[in-house]
Amino acid sequence: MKALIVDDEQDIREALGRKLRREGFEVVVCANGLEGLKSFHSEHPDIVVLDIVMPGEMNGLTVSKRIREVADTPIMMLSSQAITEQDVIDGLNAGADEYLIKPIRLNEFVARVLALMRRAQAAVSQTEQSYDDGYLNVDLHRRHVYVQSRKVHLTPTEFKLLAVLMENSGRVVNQRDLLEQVWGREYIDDVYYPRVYVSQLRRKIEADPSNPVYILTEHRVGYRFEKHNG
Amino acid sequence: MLSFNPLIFIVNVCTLALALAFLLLILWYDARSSLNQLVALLLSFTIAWNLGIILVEISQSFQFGVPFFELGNFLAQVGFVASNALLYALLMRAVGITIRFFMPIALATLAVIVSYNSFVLIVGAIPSDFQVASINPAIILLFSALSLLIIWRYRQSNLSKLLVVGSIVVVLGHVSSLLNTSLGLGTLATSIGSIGALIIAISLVRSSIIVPLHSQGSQIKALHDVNLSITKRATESNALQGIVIQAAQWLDADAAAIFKTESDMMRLVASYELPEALNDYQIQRGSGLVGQLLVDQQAVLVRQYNDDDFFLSKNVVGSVLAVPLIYDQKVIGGLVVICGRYSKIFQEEDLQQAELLAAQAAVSMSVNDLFLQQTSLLQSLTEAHNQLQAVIGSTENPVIAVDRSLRIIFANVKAREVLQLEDGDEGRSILGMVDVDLIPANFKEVVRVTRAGGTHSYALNIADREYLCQIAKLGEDRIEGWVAVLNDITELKELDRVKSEMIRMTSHDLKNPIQAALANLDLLRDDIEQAKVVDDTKYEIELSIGNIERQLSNMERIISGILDLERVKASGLNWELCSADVLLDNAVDLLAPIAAIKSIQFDVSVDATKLTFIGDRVQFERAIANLIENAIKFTPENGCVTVHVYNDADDIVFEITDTGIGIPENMQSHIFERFYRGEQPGAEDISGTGLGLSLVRTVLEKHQGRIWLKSEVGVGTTFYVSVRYQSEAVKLPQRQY
Repeated sequence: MKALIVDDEQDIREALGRKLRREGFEVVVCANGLEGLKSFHSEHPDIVVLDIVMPGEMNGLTVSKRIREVADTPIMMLSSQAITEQDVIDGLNAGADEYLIKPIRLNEFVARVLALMRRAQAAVSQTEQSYDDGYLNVDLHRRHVYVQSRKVHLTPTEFKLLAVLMENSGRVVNQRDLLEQVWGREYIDDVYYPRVYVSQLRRKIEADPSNPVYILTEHRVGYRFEKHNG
Repeated sequence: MLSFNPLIFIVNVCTLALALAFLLLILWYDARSSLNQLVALLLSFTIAWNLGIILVEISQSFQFGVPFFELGNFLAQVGFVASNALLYALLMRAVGITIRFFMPIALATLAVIVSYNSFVLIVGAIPSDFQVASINPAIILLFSALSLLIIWRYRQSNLSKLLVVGSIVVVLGHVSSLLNTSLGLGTLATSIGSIGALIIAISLVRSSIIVPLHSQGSQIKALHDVNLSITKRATESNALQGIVIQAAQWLDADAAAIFKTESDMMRLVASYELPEALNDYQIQRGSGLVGQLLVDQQAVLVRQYNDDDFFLSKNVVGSVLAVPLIYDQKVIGGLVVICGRYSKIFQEEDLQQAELLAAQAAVSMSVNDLFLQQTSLLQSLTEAHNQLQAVIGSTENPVIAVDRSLRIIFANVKAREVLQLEDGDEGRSILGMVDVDLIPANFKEVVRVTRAGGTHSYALNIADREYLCQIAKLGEDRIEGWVAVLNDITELKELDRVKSEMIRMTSHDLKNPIQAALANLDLLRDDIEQAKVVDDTKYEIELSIGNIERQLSNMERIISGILDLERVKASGLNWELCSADVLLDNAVDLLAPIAAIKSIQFDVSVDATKLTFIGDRVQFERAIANLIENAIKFTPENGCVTVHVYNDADDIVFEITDTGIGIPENMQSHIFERFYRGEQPGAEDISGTGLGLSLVRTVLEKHQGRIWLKSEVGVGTTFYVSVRYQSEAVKLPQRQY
């Protein structure tokens, strides 16, 4: 497994690198965005850990967008400045799968890296592997999503979220189960996650994200995927 | 023995008839005037005197018998003496000599005279030949002398000539009557006396009836002149000066003055023929004739002033009229009309005329006071207007005002500069005159908001600068126009951006070292785990690492708290129409997993019908979530957190109740302070930075909302948050700075 860590703070990137190496990762570290993007293309990592605020012309968000143009490689963003939901949404819009706010403990960091990789590689073993109602077309096996025949790019986490909801279509998945099934046990306290990601997902697949017809909210319980007959 | 003279008889009868006619005329005109009463009595007794003599003469000539003669004699005696005494009384009254109980004394004297003669008649002391009784000559001479003395003493005063002549003729008649015995002048004397009384009556009729009637026209003219002097004179002193001159001339007085009330005294403000030294002369309330006007509020006529408390020497002052100037039931001044010691003596009718003038003077004084107040008010308003114009004119904010037709009525220097207006642009419509879009597209909304007394705000760009334009209406009841004030917010916006940037940078700069330190601490812990270290040493090292970790975590929490709070304070609000139930659902959804960990039950109820309000959804939701999170934090496992939303009038109230440890009363006033953390028993293991409630309060302040609490130790705490309901039709405000 190869991880690419991009952070302008030497102490941080070195510490994260050392921890991942101990967990058996091959680690490449870079000090700025441009270098990081170059390394991504030359090293083909399995996961990218990106700091958002970096000196130079290319910050983490830009690097993430550039990577997303060519690959679905899971990206974990680290930020020391995220305070509002909007900051998180900006990061996710740039293509990140995971958005962690510094400071983060190394054990949790490793757990989340592993969980993210699991999510990205998870085989779709569900009985029903595709859905098509004319407007939305999802092929879970091939990991393809089309809205009105136009391909929509979903990050691994968004895809996993859609898959879990579709597997339970017609039933409500509560927040706790959603956190556990999509993100992993490590994320059980990240109560913001489902809402932020569901909102992202709606923006990508719903015709009117403020009046969703596929992913519905059950207040104080969780979310439900509703199928529609084409 | 008297011989009957038909000529004198006819004269006497005619005189009698005339005297009777005058008597009736005088009594008809004014029976209550003491002067009239005295003249009436004089005439009556003169008639009695005449009648008596006629009766005596007839009885002697035609041998009618003793009783007829005695009656005539009695009437002649009483009429003779009484008329003589009455002449003196009449003169005293006419010149204004006042003595106490004047009329009772006069009547008593008459009674004595009548009684004495009745006594003489009854005891039969009447001589067989017509002769006056022995005591009467002395009385006649005494009263005649006194009467002449008064006439001499007051020869320079305003005693009418007819009265003087009449009086002298009466005295002559009386004295000649005494010569009757030797010269046989009895009937002639009565004729002379009757003619004299007649002359006095004519004098009175003339002065009381004919002259006043004649002078009514001139009075109206005088009043007209006074009114003219009030309306023509620009200043109060000129008008009052006109009135004193009119008063003196009209009442034929020697001097006059007008006093003005000033707090507890009267000040001389206008005078005629008074020494200049008396200008601004002041008299205390209640002091003397003038000061007493303030107390009694009554007009006073003094025929002969003899007291020392007048503002002029009693040696020069004779008759005085003092009339209060009353306006709105208050004595605002006094009119004083003065005659010299040997000059005219004022009568009641003079007083009435003076009161007429006083009323005019009071009106003039009041009108002038009102005029002065109005002038002063106008001056103040002009000054305030000028100051306001100077302030608005010199302010750095462009200010422009337009009328209902959007024509420019005012633009300050800055507005002219910014909007490139020219001097002649005032009065022209603003539409199409300026390049920028100064008139908002939704002008109907501006009219609606400003009509309700509100201010419409919107942002606009002029020549690379950003302005916040605030429009308010001109006029009170109806819209007369609008005034727009432009605030240049270019720098503010830049400052806002710089501040946000600084917060982000600081956040990054502070958090990175903590991240690096914690990450290396984690590595160190791993190293120690794997290194071969003695257990005791390992324990010590882990203890130290644990301490460092805790401190770093604390530092991180505090930094995050400060940054959160600063960010909320610094950022503007993204106004939107929020719904209390949706917002509450989101907050509860967010925290349900945390509550589930502690098996805390949520009891959420929404009873409000007015649910919408204008706010920043994200910030408000966070504030409510903070309160619910606190409630969860302070509630023991298996407890209950109740959230209730209801309406209180036009407020939406969120009520969040826990069954936690409660907050002691002495801590309640501090819990919203930054970094304050309750240290009550039971709170030791509950983590927090002491910034959460401070953040909630900041958010509430930005929403013009309120937060308060009720708490009981050991029972629980209820937090209340209220925010003003807004109907869905309301227009969203612009972003605040």
